[in-house]
Amino acid sequence: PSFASIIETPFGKTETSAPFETATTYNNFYEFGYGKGDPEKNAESLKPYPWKITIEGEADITGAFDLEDLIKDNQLEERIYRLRCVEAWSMVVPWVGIPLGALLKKFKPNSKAKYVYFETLYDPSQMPAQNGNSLDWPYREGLRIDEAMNSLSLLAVGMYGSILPNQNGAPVRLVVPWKYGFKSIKSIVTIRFVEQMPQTTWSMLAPNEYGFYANVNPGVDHPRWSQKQERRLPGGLLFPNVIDTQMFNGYKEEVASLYSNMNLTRFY
Amino acid sequence: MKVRAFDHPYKKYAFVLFSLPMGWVLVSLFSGRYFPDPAEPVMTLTGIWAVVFLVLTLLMTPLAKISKMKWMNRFRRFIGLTVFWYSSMHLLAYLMLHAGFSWLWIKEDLLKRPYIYVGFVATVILLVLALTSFKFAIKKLRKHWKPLHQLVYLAGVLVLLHLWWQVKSDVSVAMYSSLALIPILLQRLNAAYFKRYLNKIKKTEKRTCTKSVDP
Repeated sequence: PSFASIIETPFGKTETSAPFETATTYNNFYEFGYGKGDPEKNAESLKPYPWKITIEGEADITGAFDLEDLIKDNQLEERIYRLRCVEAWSMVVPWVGIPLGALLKKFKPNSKAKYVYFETLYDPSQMPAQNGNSLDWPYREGLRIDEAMNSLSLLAVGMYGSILPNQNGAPVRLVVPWKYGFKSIKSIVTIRFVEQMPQTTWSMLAPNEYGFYANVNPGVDHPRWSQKQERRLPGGLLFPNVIDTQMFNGYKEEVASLYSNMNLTRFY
Repeated sequence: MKVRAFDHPYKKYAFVLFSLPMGWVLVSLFSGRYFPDPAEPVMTLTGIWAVVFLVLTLLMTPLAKISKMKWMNRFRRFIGLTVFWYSSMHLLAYLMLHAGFSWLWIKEDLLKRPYIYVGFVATVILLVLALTSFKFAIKKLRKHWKPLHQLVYLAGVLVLLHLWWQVKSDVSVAMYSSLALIPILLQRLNAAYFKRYLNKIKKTEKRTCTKSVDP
């Protein structure tokens, strides 16, 4: 189903969005399998409606809330963002959602809330590949509080003008466009305000390959491949569309100030 | 017309059989089944089949010995060329589908990623072996031919390094390939040592014999 009203935003007006078909058949969502096509094949078992999110930790208001209640006060926005995967491919996707900061402020995080931690649903009956141990379930992600409050951070509930397909992280996911795609956690059930930097799934698995920050940075290689360029999908049948990767995925103007005193080679 | 490569009547069938996996990959590629990013499936499949045929090639010598089926040796070059063919396709998929022939991309990988250059070196070895696998080269190289072609075992070791270094979180391909390749490599190593050992014994025996006959 489509949404009643979505306001347009200037984001990505000059970009060409990937076809809906591409964005919904080429996914990394290990809860439904390793293969890029697995989520589309296996995600039917996910039941995204109704959906509750538990708010915990360093905030005045905590508890379990219906997703619908959480977003109903905010105007949905369309934001066309570039999504750069750490595997060196990228896609332009028109998301629908609300600014993450607008939602987080509602719970009145206190002064100890230095980070925000997120968790994906853990339910092997809905997410069959959680029966295997490819990752340490549930999937965990986190942002520094100022990153979460940055106006680019989006809590998406839809794409291409409609609700999120299951394989894209229904019913609610993060979109953090200046960071590698794995930061944009899907099917969120828990949001926790915390004081210490939280452990995140990929950096738990391989800390030398995936850091907490995971900012898109052509100057810092992944140990097994270069991040200087990317394949913008979809390309031709035989010849991919290889383009240069931009610092902060091209969102330098909006986010560079968050890291002004940091060595981004060390804090990758 | 008689094609020299098909000198054994079964080679026609082997050719068709060995081409099936590649045929399937190409049909899938051109029908858009791997769209929008065909690099990963094509690299994975051609890589896996290259390993499968490499295992078969390396099995030929011990199998022919055990079963005493001399005709098997006549297929060795054929299967060896199949390994080369699949590994070339694997390299081409990397250069074209993965890196889009972008020199910056390829240069970065070749200079900095050990798992890419060990894979590249393995393919170069296979290329040299393929080029010197014909009668003319065998005649020209004479006693150098055998040691040169024993480089296939080095290629096998490099392939294993390549597989373990590229693991993201799924180790199954690296694991199965190791289970198949390591015993063969060890057996060959063992056989080589054993042979040298036997030769030594023979030589010393000869020497002692001549001495004893020569008072």
